[in-house]
Amino acid sequence: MPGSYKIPEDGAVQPTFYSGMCKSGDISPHVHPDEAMAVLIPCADRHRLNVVTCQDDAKEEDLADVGGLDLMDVRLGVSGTALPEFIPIIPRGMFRRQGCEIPSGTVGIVLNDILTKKISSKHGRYQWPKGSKVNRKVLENSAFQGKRVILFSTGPDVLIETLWWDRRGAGLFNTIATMGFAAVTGMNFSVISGECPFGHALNLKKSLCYCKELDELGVWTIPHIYAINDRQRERWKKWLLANPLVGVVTINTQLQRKQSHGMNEVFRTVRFLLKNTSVDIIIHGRAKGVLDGLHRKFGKRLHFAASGPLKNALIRKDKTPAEYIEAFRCQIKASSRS
Amino acid sequence: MGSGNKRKGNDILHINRPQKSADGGDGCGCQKDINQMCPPAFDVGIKLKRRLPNETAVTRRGNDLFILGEFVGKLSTAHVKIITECGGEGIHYTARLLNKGEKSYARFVQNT
Repeated sequence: MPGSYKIPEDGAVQPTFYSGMCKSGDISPHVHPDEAMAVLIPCADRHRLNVVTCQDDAKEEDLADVGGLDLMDVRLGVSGTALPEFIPIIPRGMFRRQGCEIPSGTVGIVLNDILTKKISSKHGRYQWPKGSKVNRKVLENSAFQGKRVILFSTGPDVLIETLWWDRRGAGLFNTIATMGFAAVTGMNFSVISGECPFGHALNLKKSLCYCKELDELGVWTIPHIYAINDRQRERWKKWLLANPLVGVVTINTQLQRKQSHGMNEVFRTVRFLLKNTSVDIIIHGRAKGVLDGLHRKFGKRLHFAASGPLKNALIRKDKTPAEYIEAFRCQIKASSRS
Repeated sequence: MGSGNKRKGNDILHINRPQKSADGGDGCGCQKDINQMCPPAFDVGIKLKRRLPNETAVTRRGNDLFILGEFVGKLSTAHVKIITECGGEGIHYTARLLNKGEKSYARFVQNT
């Protein structure tokens, strides 16, 4: 497993070559010193490439921007209603289809598909298309008529980091709050193992702040949870127990689409949250190999969201959207039995 | 973007410093996006006297570009601005030869 490092359960932490240079442990309790032991990429001289590290000159500005790293500062007050087991995500190419073709009262949409111009790839990298903005009228498309729509605020870093950075200038929260979404999930800011844990903590807080801003505007928000070690899982547990109105959280598994071993960490987090809190969990993306026995024990608290079935219906055209959705449901049931 | 052991190779960016207005309050939307200011890569047209393989190193002296010590072209003012301003932010570029049909380019790519 390239670049992997696990904090052992017995607490006997082995430092890596770069862990001694990471100063994240100084900001305990928001980062436990053990987390710095897992650093595999030097924190200095990153020039904010993909992540803000503990040794970034401007990190105080980032801390001020989110009111510090303490998750407990965030209280969410808007609660939601029951969700179905499967939430199909409607891709942009299907927006003009009739809603009755998609047999689900609750559907999803992703951030990239509410933009006037999608993220494009140039020179082998994603780039934010100049002039792109949120299309306020996207839910007027026929595919969404008569449905509850959840905005899954997930996507590539280039997308979510750009939207987050310009959130105030672009009036992002007011725009989203007035578009008619039934719920909006937190943004899935990256938490990559081996990177500076200060960056992890900052990204987790950013995701919660996104929820907080929308919650204050009366929107039901579904916090997005990433946790790659037990310390982070404990912090989420503490936060969830202090926020009893949060009934549902979501975990995006886009990076695990082609990596079955990566799902182990996701399932560890899912198992932990199901056992130690009362939240329901929406697994967004890959769901294969779901949890030995967890589905049987906690099935009613597990939900799945995916764009795959409707994308397949759109591209392959060999089955109807309803048939692809049914096939996905069967796949979930079959994998939970295995 | 995600959680896991490895980032996607095409999802790379520099995290902007948070926006601030003059009074230190909410962002004004007037700060430059460093990822727009410093594109991941850009191409500069060059002229070769003889065909050379892709990925041959391109060197820069001032505004002039050279391959194997031979002058092949010049940077425009806009390209010089990118290289200078981004250098000040710690973002540097390396150039290599890229042949596209009959035309040749120096492709400047961010060092990451």
